Amino acid sequence: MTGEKKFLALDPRTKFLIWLFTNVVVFSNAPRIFFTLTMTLYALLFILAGKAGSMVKLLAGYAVVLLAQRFLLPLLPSAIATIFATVTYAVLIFPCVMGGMYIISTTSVSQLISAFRRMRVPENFTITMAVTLRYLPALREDVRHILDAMSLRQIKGLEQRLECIYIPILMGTAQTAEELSESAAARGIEYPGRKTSWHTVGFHVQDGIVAFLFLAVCVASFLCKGVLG
Amino acid sequence: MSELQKNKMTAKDAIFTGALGAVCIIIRFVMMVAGGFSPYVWFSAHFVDAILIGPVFMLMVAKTQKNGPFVITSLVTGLVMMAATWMLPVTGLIGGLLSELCLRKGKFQNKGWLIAGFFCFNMGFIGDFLPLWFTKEAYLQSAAMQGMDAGYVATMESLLTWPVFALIVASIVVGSVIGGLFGLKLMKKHFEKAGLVK
Repeated sequence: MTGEKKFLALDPRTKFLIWLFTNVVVFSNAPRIFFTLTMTLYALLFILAGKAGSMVKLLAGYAVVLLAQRFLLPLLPSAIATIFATVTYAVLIFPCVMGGMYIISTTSVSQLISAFRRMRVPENFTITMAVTLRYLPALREDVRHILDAMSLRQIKGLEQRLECIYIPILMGTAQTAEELSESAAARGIEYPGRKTSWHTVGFHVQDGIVAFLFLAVCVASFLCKGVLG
Repeated sequence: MSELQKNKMTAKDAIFTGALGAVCIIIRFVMMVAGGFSPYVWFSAHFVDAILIGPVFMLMVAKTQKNGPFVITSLVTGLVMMAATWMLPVTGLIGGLLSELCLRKGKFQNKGWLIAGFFCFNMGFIGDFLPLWFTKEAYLQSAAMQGMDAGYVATMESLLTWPVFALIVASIVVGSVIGGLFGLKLMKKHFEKAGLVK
């Protein structure tokens, strides 16, 4: 726990709030300067959370796409340039992508659960969400094993191939879910009372400051709409 | 209402839903990344999604046989992918609710209602396109400003029209029917034999 204290930790709810503000800025078609502003704020948050590495990677990707867009695309014939439309779309909504990445890379599943419980989200939803997030990495592993096994046995044809990936995965999932729910029941998941959590979430000074900064950018983007192009 | 109370979701259902929901998310995510290469792939992604998710959906129906899992899965998918657009949770909620209604109507057995519910479930993911349509002006403007040639802008403009949108919806209808039937077939062939579902 002491290791976490060194970095700026925000309440998960604050993270969702600032992400909403970012969306407003992006989708209200605000002047470009505010895009840069929110991105700078997020970059700062990444550094303060001790995730400078993933921030640099994100920004590098952004820079590559931006450069390609500026110098490479005008040279290409329009038919080929169209292929990159979705990439350029990602650039357009990049602050949102950054916000999403920030939420994902700085929030642990158990923090998310306790935040959900504090927000009185129905328990069924919370459990489903948590299991989904936990299960994603395990699934990737499973798929890799199955693909290996398939290449050993030379499976041909699309339908057969699909079936060969699908059935083991679904069977495995059903099995795992069964085991998981037994183990969770043994730990009292069905206990109707209030649950406690190792991670405590709550609003602190830093939450107020960060939320205020994002709100300020959001409001300013509306006020400056006519003034700046 | 009393019927709903009897068929309340248990923690076990929630866990099962979560695990299968992860499978759905992986499929959608892979197709989304593939769509990053070209808008044509991106626009057909929903069609492929529908076919691939068919078996997952049908297994979920067969295993839980109650209302709740589908709207939750749509919402969770929307939340996990929220980095792409805020519209996903919204359309996910609507699509999920409609799907629940269809399934309830068919008592989780009727084939036609199963497929209708599956279609609504797929429509819940349409949110990933909507912003492109709603922010069309801004998108084209910025593309033009960044020095893309007029042909490119014109191509995008011709793509981002409502008839194309209707085409996508139509492709989802076809995909849902194929995916749903494919799912039912797999259910019969494997899961019933293995005793996973009765």
